Formats: sequence, structure tokens, C-alpha cells
Amino acid sequence: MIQAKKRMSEGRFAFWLLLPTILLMVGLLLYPFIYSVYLSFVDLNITKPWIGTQFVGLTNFTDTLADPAFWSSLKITVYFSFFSVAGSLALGLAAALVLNLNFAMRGLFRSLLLVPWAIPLVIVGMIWKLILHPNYGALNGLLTQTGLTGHNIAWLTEPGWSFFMLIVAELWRSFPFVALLYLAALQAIPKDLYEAAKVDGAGAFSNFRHITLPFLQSATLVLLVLRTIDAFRAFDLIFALTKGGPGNTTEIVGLYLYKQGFQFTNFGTSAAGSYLVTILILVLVFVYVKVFKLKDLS
Amino acid sequence: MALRKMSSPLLGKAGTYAAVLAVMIFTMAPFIWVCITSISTNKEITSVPVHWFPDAPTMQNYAKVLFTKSNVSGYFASLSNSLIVATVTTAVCLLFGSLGAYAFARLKFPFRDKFIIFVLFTQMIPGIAVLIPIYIIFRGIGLLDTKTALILSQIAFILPFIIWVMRSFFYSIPKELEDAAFMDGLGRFGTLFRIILPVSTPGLFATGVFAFLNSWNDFLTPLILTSTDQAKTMPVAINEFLGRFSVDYGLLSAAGIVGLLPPILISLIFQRFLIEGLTAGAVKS
Repeated sequence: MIQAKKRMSEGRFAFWLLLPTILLMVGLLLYPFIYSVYLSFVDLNITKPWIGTQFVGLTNFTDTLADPAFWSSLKITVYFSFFSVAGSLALGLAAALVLNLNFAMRGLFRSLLLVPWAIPLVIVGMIWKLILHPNYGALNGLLTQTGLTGHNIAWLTEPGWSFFMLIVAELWRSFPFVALLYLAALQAIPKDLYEAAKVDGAGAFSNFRHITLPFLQSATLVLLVLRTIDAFRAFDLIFALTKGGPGNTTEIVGLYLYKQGFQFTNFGTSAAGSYLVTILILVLVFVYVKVFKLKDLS
Repeated sequence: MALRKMSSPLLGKAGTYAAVLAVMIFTMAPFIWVCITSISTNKEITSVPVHWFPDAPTMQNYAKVLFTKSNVSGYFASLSNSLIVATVTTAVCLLFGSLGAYAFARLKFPFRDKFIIFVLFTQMIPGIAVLIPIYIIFRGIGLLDTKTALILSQIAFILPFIIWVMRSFFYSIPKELEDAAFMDGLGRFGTLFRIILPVSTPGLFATGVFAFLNSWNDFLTPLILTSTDQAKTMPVAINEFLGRFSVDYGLLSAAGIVGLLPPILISLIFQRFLIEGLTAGAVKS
């Protein structure tokens, strides 16, 4: 038998393994994070360099909370998140249920789901801009040629339609992830449960409620959390598709913060605002977990 | 186990195929439309009524996007920047991320449980929160408009995610494997590199694809940190096209198709690993 070497202690081994990570995280996350906390309490006076940096206490936070554009962006983000999360979960579940059925080339169709998922969001925005073009877009072409409407609709320049189409584009690109997750969960359900239910004479809807849904609970919690975080952090798609327009009607919070920082160079208010949003996200996640944990116990 | 036929009693065979068709049309139609537009001339694109397929398909849009020396040649530079940044970011994150993930999965050390919450937290903050200070810091040390800046910033976001996913993957490797390696005289690092990592290739592939896709598709970081062709990546270039060439629909489409091909191809090639990695968290009951 080979003499087993004395092994390095666990603590020391962990240290060496984690050293690069720790260095990178401290330099690229922790330090910027602390710096941004500092930023949220000062005014850099970039446009008035003779004054230099001033400590302004909570002014950045109160300015943000007093800004109607902030609240408007928050409201739009909440609406966006609601429809995006609910819509993608519903659409994804429906797609998963369909793809769970037995039919030819099932694997191929499942692979195609990856197409909307993998496309860079800026390009998703560009694609939908083309589709929604008032004069040359596929959607208006389809609607007018099939006689469903008489004239071209300016999807992206009418406030109501613009938000609606933003949701459509967002659902298109996000439902595949939901579908794949639900599909995996569906395929883990033991088939004999359905067999037993059939013997008892249960119908399809009853099966769904009593067998399928309980098995989807953990997947649903994961999806709710991930999709909500995703929706609150949304930026690329909206920037490419509408830039927050028309007017401010699709300006979600990420866009508002970006404008504060890089159009108005209010780095302080932008930093403060992003912390307010972060707190909101944390609260939401906390609520989700609590709600689902409670259901688990009952 | 016998292959179970589960044709839906609700829909019947025809209904099943109709539903599948509906899902597939919804999934692929926008993509197919861009493909069609990219091989059409602008004359055909702007003709009314809509041409559902060009009478005279052409590759001139692609030629314009990739080869001409006009303003559009910046696109090729942006593609190469994207490739370099994505490759380096992926390599670094995979290497350091797996090492770190192994530590989380197998070893005991102080703050272990707290650290993982920090990792989760980094995935939740809006990008702009960290990018503002990074912008100011990089501006101060002259790192703006460099690929290095992009790589570093992306590592900040992607590395925690890699650790998170690889950690759960390492959990699933049986401990006996490592104990056997120890019996054979392999030290800590030997076990890790010669036994564990080779066994983990599916997980490494999955996280590698995630990292690459995340980096390739990243828009906000290069939008903020770059300004010229030397560091601009593809999404930023596309965004500029939307502004500058907004009426050259053929050009836009061709540029878009070129930009989305690498992530789509990579996803399809590695789809088995991808889907396994994506769904790992959802299936436990």
C-alpha cells in the first residue's frame, strides 16, 4: 500500500482555492460597492469642479424619493414585472405541458426553444422593432393582408401599444427558460400516479390539480424568484426597443437610473436610487420565500 | 421500463400536433422573419404589400456588414472584441470558479455559509449599482475603453454565478472517489485536478456556456465602459446601428443574424449540458 501523504488542512486548502476569487470579489465587487455607498451620500459636482466633492447626507435619497420620474419608473417596473413574470410562467407552463406530450421529433422542438433564449437582448429588441415597423413590419403586414385591421398601427409610438408590445417581446424571449424548467419538473413526476388516478376514474383537470401542480411547486418558487429579479433588472430590451418611450411610458427603473448617472451625471442620485431598488428586490424575494415556505408546512 | 404512450386524452392526436405547431410557430417566427429580411434588398423590404419571401434573395447585406471599408466595418472589430472578452472571461471564471466552488462544496472553513449569501446577493443587484462606481474607478486609472475593463467587470458578475452552479454540481460527486484518491497517495491538489475536475466536465461545459453567453450578450457594461472600436463589443455596435442605420433594414437584420449566431450555435451544440445545468435546481421536490 502506498504511504498516504499527510494532507493539507481543510482550512488551508480552502484558502488557496478561494484566494483568486476573494481577490477578484474584493477588488471588483466589494470595493466598488463600498464606493457606491459613499457616492450615494455625496455630490461629486462634476459640472462644477471648483466646488469639488461635497458631503450631502441623505439629499440624494430624498431627491430620488421626491422625483416623480422615479416613482413613475418604479410603477412601470412593477407593471412590467407583474406581466412579465405571470405571463412567462403561464406561457412557459403551457409550452412545457405541450412538449411533455408524446410526439415525433420531440427532442428537436425542445432544442428550438433555445433560440429565443440565446439571442442577445439588444438583438431581440432589434428583431421586434423590425416586426413592429408601422409600414414595413411583418405584424402590420399580416394584420392588413388577412383583413384583421384596415390600416397600419404605430405599435411603438402609441403609449398603450408600446407597453403591450414590450411585454410581448419580453415574453417571447423569456418563456423558453420557464418552459425548460417546468418540462424537467414534469418529467420527474412518477407516471404511476397518473395510472392510479386513471383507475380511480379521475379526469384530466383533476389530475392536473392534484398530481401535477404539487410537483411543480419548487420549480415555481425558483422561477418566481429568478423571473422577478430578472424583470426588475431589465434594461437591454427596453433600451433597444423603446428607449423608455414614447415619452416616459416604458421607462423602467434601470433606464431611469442609467439616465440619472450618464445623461445627467447625477452619480450620487443614481447610486442612491439603485440602493432603494435593491432593497425592494430583497424584500420581494424575502416575501416569496416566506409565502412558499408557509405553504410547504401546511 | 416500457415506453409509455402519453398522448393527451384532452387533445387527441390532431390537437397535440396543432398545439406543438402553435408553440413552434410562436418560438421561431420572429427569428425566421429576421433571416428573411437579412437576405432581402431594402427595396423589397420597403415594398408594400409585404414580401413574405424575397423575389431576389441576396447576400449583399452580409457583405456590407462584414467586409466593406465604410463606417460599417466597425462591426467586424466589435465582433472580435466580443470574442476575445467572452473567451477570456469564461476561461478565468471557469478556472477560479470551480476551485472556489469545490471549497464551498467539500471543505469546512469560517464564514462558509455567510459567503454563499453574498454570492446570491451579487446576482440580485441591478447592474447599474456596481457599474457606476466601476466606471468612476476605471476612469481614474485610465482603464476606460479597454477590453481589460470589460473582462474585469464581467468577472465580477459571472464568477459568483459559476461558483453557485458548480458548487451544487460538486455536491453530487461521491465522496468515495476522493477517499480512494487519498488512499492512492494523491494530495489535496492532486485529487482535485486529476480526479474531480475530469469527472466534472458536464458541469464545466454547462457553466462555461453560461459564462460565454452572459459575456457575449452583455450590453450595459460595454455601453458604459467603452466608446471606440478598440473595445466596443457587438451589442453596443448593434445599438449604434439602430440609431445610425435605422432605415437600412437589410443591414440591421444581417448584423443581427451575425451577432446571434455564435450564442445560438453554442447553445445548440452544448444543449444537453445546458439543459441539465439550467434545470438542476428545479427538479428536487
